[in-house]
Amino acid sequence: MPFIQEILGCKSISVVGLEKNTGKTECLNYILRRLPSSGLTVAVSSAGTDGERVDMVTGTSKPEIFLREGILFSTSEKYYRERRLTSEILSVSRKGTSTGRIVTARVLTGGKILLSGHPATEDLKKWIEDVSVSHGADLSIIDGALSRLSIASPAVTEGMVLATGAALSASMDTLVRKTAYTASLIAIPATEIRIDKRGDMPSKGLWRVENDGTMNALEHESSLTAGSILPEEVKGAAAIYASGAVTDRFLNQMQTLLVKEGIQLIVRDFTRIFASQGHFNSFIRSGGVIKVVNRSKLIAICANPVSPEGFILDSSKLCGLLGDATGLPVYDIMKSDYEA
Amino acid sequence: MKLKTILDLPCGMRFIFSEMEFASSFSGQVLLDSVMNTTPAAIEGSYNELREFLSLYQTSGGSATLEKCRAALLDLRDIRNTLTALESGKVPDDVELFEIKNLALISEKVREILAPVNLKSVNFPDLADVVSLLDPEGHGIPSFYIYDSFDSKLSELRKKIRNSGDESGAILAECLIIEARVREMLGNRLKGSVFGLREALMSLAKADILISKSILTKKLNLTIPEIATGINKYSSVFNPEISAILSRENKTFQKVNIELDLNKPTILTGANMGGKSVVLKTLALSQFLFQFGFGVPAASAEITPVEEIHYSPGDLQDMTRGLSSFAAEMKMADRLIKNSAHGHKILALLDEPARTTNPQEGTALVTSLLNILNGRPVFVLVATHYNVKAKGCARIRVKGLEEGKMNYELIEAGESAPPREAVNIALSLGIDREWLDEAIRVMDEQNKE
Repeated sequence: MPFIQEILGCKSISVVGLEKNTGKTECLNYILRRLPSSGLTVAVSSAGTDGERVDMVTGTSKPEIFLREGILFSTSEKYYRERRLTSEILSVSRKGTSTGRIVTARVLTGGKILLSGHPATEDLKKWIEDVSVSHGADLSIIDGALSRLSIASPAVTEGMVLATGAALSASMDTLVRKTAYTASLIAIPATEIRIDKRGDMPSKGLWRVENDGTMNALEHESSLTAGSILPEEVKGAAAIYASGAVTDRFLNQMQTLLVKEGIQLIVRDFTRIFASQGHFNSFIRSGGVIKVVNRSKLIAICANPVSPEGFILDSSKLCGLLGDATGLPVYDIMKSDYEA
Repeated sequence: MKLKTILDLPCGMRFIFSEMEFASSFSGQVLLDSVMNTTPAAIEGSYNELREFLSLYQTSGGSATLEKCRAALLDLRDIRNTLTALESGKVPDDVELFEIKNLALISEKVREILAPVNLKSVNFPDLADVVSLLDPEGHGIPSFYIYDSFDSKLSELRKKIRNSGDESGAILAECLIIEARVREMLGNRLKGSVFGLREALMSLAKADILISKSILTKKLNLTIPEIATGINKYSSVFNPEISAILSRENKTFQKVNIELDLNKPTILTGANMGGKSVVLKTLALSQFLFQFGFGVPAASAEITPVEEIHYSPGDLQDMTRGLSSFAAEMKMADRLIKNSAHGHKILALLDEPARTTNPQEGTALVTSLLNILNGRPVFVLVATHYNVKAKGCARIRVKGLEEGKMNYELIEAGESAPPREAVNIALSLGIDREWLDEAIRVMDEQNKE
């Protein structure tokens, strides 16, 4: 399987689903099954709660994550108690989540587990660092979420695998279009400005970024009040950093404000962009430049032709169309007859 | 009174706390929950402990030993709830057993590090039994699971899962039953060690606090004072927070000497901007530091333990209780009068009491307060601009402006009215000349009258 080779080239990857039931967990299991079983320490965790045995929304059964011997994982105390494998606790976090503190453990005899994880992006980042430094993980895998209100962004990982499928839309055209749009957002290049961020990027407000990378707050609380920014306030800036959500309205306002001046718009990562495809394209076509701070390389797309309601799309046609639209390798992991 | 209740008084305890570097945040919590010493014996006990750690910290070998201790304490967690649950008979889960093992390992490690220096102030119980129970394979690392060696059947079943899988989950189910039995056995055996574990937890926090206090003493140039009876005497006292701000601006804090007598109130007068409020603030802070077993910011000091410290920083406005600053001040003075009448030993530091009312009544209120407190077991220092004519009070004042520069030194003052320097100081601030000239004219007229 070629994309396993690509994954092995990364120190961290995330597997994100475009919608619930698009086969993200299957995809994760699929990758875990195919990673070499010796000579590579793998760590797995999740951004937000995941791995419900039965889907909380649609009531369909969901495959649990199967972890084999030697894999490191982190999950919350509640799910750790419910694990169906033998594992050795290595550390317990200080910070708690709604389902308890995060337990990091090593699998001793393989089995199934529910993963639940880090509530914020910074925790996720720190986890990747910790499992690598303290516990010797060579590859960290994050079970990510896009469709839910997840504060933790999976874009902190080097690589990303996108799971899409019939659950997103019953119309193949819509499914392909939506997936291609997300893929194009993930592909937004990282900014070339070396931002002097002194630690983490600010989590609030709009910021002027100068050519030398220094940042100064604009007197506007959020991207929602950006309409009142005057052209003088942004004149001469190299970029504007928007910490919050990039909506249609915000993008329109930025279009009139930034494009003429050749100022780029920087966001933390692609998950901040909530604008519709039409508005986004219009921004780009008018000459707008949008860049990110954290960028993950999109390695492959996994497509699940089966929807939770029961209808099935034509697998090879779906994979073909998605491949054409995104230029990325596309796999139907349910078929799983690819070469390893 | 707990340390956390005075953290946000405007005397600067928050600064002291934020300057402390605890290895474990749990130690900080324990310190915040500690109760103020009020007896000489308790304070002496605290200082003996600090002296022991401080003298160790001041030797190069000793400070290396304490650094090793701090490194071991980094992973110390608050597991008091786990211990209480264990005591009450709850079967611990793996996370709790991990925590207990972690605590026992840290305690044993710190005990080993400190064994050669033989400290009297901290005592670590022998937890070797707990370690060997929870680390049956002797790895000595803080990780935990229900080890194969707890039950011979476990290793067999787990081998089976490893070799041929467990599609139906039946073998795992069997394992889980054995694991539950092992946890129950561990819980029962650990129950007898709860006392020792709790002692270890609190001793580790205490060691962390004493190391942090020692580091702080050196960092802020603090001194362990003498415990006195009936006198509060500081030489070269300084405010650590203001001192730190000044040194960032390449300025130095002018240290002052001050002495207060029990039973004899002291009136502090002096110009605006003469540092009266800083003196009160610093004395309040020093008294708290003394009674919580910290070094105090002075070259040397003799301090008398008190039962209550009443510090009124001047603007006591308490919006949350709907009190104006006048009302809040009156309530505080009222408490002072009542409690001192009951013989409570008190330090009262009042910054310009009754300043928000008219000078005539204000002067009367302050004078009568001092008349009443005179002779009671109270250290009173009142900073005021009023011409207070209370009998039997000691009087000191800020030396004041000297060639346009403020001299903050505290000197004895006579019975006469405090010097009027407000206009001079306003002049030095560059305030509108026309206004100040007019003020001088009005004052001259008043003097003629």
